[in-house]
Amino acid sequence: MAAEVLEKLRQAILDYDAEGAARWANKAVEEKVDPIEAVNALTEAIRVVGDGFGKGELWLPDLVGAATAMKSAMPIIEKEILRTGKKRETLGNVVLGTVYGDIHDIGKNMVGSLLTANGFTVYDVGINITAAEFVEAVKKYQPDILAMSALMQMTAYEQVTVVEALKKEGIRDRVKIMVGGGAITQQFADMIGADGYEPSAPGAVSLAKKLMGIM
Amino acid sequence: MPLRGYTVSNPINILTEDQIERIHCATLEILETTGVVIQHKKALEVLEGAGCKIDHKKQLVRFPSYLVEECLRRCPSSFTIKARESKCDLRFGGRTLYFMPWGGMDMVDLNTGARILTTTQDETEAVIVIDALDEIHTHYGAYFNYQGVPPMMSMPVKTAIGLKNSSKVQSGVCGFDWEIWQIKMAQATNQELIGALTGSPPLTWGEAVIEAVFRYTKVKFPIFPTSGQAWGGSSPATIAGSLALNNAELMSVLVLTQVLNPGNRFVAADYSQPLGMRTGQALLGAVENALAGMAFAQMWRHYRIPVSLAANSSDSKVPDYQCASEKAINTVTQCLAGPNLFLSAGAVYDELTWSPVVLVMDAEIYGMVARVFNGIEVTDETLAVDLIEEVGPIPGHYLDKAHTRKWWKKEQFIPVLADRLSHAEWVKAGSKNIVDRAKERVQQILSTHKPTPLPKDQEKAIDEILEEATAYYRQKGML
Repeated sequence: MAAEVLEKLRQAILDYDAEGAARWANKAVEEKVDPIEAVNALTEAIRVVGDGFGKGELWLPDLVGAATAMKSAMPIIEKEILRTGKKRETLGNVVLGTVYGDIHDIGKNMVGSLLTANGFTVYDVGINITAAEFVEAVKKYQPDILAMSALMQMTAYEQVTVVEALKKEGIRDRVKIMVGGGAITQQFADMIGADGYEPSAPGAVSLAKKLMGIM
Repeated sequence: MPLRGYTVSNPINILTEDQIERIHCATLEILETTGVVIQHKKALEVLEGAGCKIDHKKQLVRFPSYLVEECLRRCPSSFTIKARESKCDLRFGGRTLYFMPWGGMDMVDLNTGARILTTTQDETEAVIVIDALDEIHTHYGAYFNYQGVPPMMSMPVKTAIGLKNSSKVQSGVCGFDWEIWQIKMAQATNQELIGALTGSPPLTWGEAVIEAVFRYTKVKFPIFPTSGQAWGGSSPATIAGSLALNNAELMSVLVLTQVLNPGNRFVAADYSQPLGMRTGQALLGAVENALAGMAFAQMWRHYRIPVSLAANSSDSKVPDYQCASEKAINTVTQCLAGPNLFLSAGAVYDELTWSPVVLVMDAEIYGMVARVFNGIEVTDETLAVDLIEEVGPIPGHYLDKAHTRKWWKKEQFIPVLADRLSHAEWVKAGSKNIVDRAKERVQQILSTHKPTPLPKDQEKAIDEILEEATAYYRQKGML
């Protein structure tokens, strides 16, 4: 039974089926399937989609569709991991959000999907996030990376406020900061003292891996 | 006398009457059923008073169809925008078409495509070129960032440079209270600004943008909202669905505008593009923009409200064959659909890079497109049957005829930049390409064109407003 549930879970991701993913995640819990194996099944499936995207066979709607399916299954499995006290492997924890004044979330969602597809654990704190809220999220999730997004050139400046707030709290050096979006340049990233810059969503994964010392 | 721009007679229709009706009804259904989030407490109160249904917790506004249609009727179908010199006034509406640069974040290195952080001197020079070109009628300056200028001050500084170095009507930009200073500067120089707003699709208007609507309508400046969907990302992947969503977003802010100030001037602006399904970036050079833009222009002509289209940029990083072909295809097709304003001259890659050299090349494209607008004159004189009879077969010819001298310059567009030399002459002239010649043209403009200066007291007033803005942001801890 466990093998069948894991296969269904995997297939739900490959079918971009959020409802099915949640249903089979619940089934996995019900059937006492090892939650770590369930996470591995999900991760393996999304890696298949991520690879397809990397090869140019799949496109953003496929990738984000698979990530959304994974997102609907993940909380159910994570709750079970917590209950059983097991430990999940991850390439790194990332807090991700769009800065204050900016309510665009598509770019952020793409980056979140791609990072998840590549084995990172992503805490998406949302849009229109103030510096204080970012500081709070860094304290709460203890991420390896803080990734900020700003679509508009005007709101890109808000990232300065976040970096300053982190410094003020004395936690700037606890995280690697990566910034991105079309409106941002390397020059800008250097100016605000970010650790990494990437203008496009797909490049965000390599950047995150680089910041984690993985490649 | 306002600037007359170009005239697009008999604009092309791409939608059938039936399709227009279906898109209109879909728009009304979205506004009435799904509604639009407007993140502004006072706006919610105003709209509630006008008959909208409000979910205050979600900041969601549902618009009854009768109110939307009433407000569409309140918008003037044509109007004047006042410049500091009356010869630069704009008269929007009807068949008039104006061209406008919309700027880019940085200057582009024409050879490498690299993004160069500009200086205020670069901005000044760009505005002088804008001021000099007859094909450019209004503008939004050139760049968004300047070395040595604190980020928060870049927009007020940009407006100040624009007002000092050109008599042409300028567009403002909202956010971070920037419109406060821009409105003050415009008033101090006795002119109006185009009140540009940027939306956050799907179906959301942010607080700062709506605050700008209150500020612009208070001084009765025209409103110019762009919503900017990326199809398949922030709107449906289909052009029809994106058109309906785009319409709904613009009409939601149109209703607010017309409730706050009935008859407030309004230009419906399209800034939607397909989403690049590899990078997630909007594709400004995509050919589908032509279809969507033509349909959008037709919809708003149907509403008798001035309309702006904006797909005159490219996805190329350098001014190459891709850049020129994407810009030219979108310019020709969309302008033939009869918009009143077309952006964004001088852009190279997306709205991220810009160059005055590209601006002068775009101006030449506009000249060519204008030739197409002028159409073919068919009269006894142009048919020239008598002349054909007179000249007859070879050895007859037309070069020495008065008819030729009279008509050829009317019939042929004479380019300033395009190369029409023989091959041998071209080699002799240094084998230059169009970019080389465009660079020379920019230099020539910069060495000869002198914009009308502002009176000293007005120049001083602008500097004082900049100081006031600096103090304001400093006090807020934003500088």
